[in-house]
Amino acid sequence: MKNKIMSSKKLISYLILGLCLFSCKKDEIEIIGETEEFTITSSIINDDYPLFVYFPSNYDPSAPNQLIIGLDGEFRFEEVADVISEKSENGSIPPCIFVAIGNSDERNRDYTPTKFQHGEGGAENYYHFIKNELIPELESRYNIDTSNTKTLIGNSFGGLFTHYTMFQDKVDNPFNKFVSTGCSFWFDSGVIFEYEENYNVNNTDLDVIFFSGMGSLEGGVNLASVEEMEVRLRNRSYSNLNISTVIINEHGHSGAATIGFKKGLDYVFSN
Amino acid sequence: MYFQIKKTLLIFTLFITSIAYAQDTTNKKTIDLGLNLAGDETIFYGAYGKFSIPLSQKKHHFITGGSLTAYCDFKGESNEGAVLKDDIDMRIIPSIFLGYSFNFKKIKLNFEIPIGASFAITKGTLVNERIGFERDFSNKEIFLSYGVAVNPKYKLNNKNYIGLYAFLPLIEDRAQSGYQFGIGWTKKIK
Repeated sequence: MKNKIMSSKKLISYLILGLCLFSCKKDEIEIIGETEEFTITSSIINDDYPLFVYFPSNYDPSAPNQLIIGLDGEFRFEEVADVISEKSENGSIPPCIFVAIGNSDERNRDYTPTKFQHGEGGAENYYHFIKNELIPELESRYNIDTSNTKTLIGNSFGGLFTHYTMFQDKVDNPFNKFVSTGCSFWFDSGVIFEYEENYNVNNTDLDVIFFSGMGSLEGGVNLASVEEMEVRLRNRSYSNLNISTVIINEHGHSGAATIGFKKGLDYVFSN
Repeated sequence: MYFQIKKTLLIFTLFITSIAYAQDTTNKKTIDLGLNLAGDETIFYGAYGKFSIPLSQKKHHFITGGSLTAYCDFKGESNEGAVLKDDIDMRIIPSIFLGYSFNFKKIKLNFEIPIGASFAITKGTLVNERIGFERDFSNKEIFLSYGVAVNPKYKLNNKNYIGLYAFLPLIEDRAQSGYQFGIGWTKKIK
């Protein structure tokens, strides 16, 4: 009898443990809207880029839509589309279209501004590809607002490229909204700060809406650098700069990205 | 909310199971000491200690106990031109565990479910000589840490074992408490 009671207790314990450990899954969000894919060939870089396109429920083919461009398309398309889908449903984002650029295998070449370690310094070419080849192609296919008010969103090296793009000449920069998470400030001993300084030498204003998110567990170089970048930009006294820097508590490099994308899109479309 | 319920159930089950199976035993208590590699996105280096108590006198038996793990990132993402000064980036993880020990002639194989806290401490100063700035940073956070561990050991003699240790975290963000792979020494103490 005693053995039977012990066996029952064991069985119940195993069942509860099993349920605890393996029964719970993270909530998943279904994106609402249409998607499509096609490939563009860049003559500037001499490479092909798959494009992942998302039309949220508020996309309006009869009127100009905001264009949001995301990097690391193969990894990030679905999670950013999830965020946009939710925002589209609750009315917190204007009519828009989201395009994530693939060929993420070449991110070390395309997203880095200089040659350093495994970075190949192709950011200048990549910027020209986006500005002169990709955006004109998208504007010819879809109803997109053609003014320089587009949004760029990136994580890690993608965040580095987002900063790099923000510090390009404003006259013909197609973007005025930037969302960066987990920027690789460590890259080439903080070379992105030189781009910020060079921009300041040649400009008196930075007319953009800029969100920068960093996970609290991303290490000392990035924690210190994200704060340094905010202080520097605020001290420039650019009259039309809107900036928000957020430390995303309890998260490391990967975990902070999705939260940062959501907070970033909230910020850039509320200003 | 879902994860809070999951965590509460797990703690409750470990507690009840420990009480249910605790009894006088002729199996030995053991102490483990070892070195480990840990982390998820970054590799940390550290050490661990563990105290195990057998919960029955069967050949294969339940065990419980406590452990303390600490690991550090000694370099961070600093590089020439941007270095960290007086910096710490570490996790300190005290845990209790419930496990099951398979005992064969030369091999002991332990499966454990540790649950505890992860103290994340990051502080120091970034000195960027290339750009020309210094900036302090500091972050301290505490997280729940839990997962499953496997600990195979080889018997050297009646009192000593050497073994490997692997911990798979089941928390959502593994930067809070990461994977652990260790090599260690086990001594029977009583």
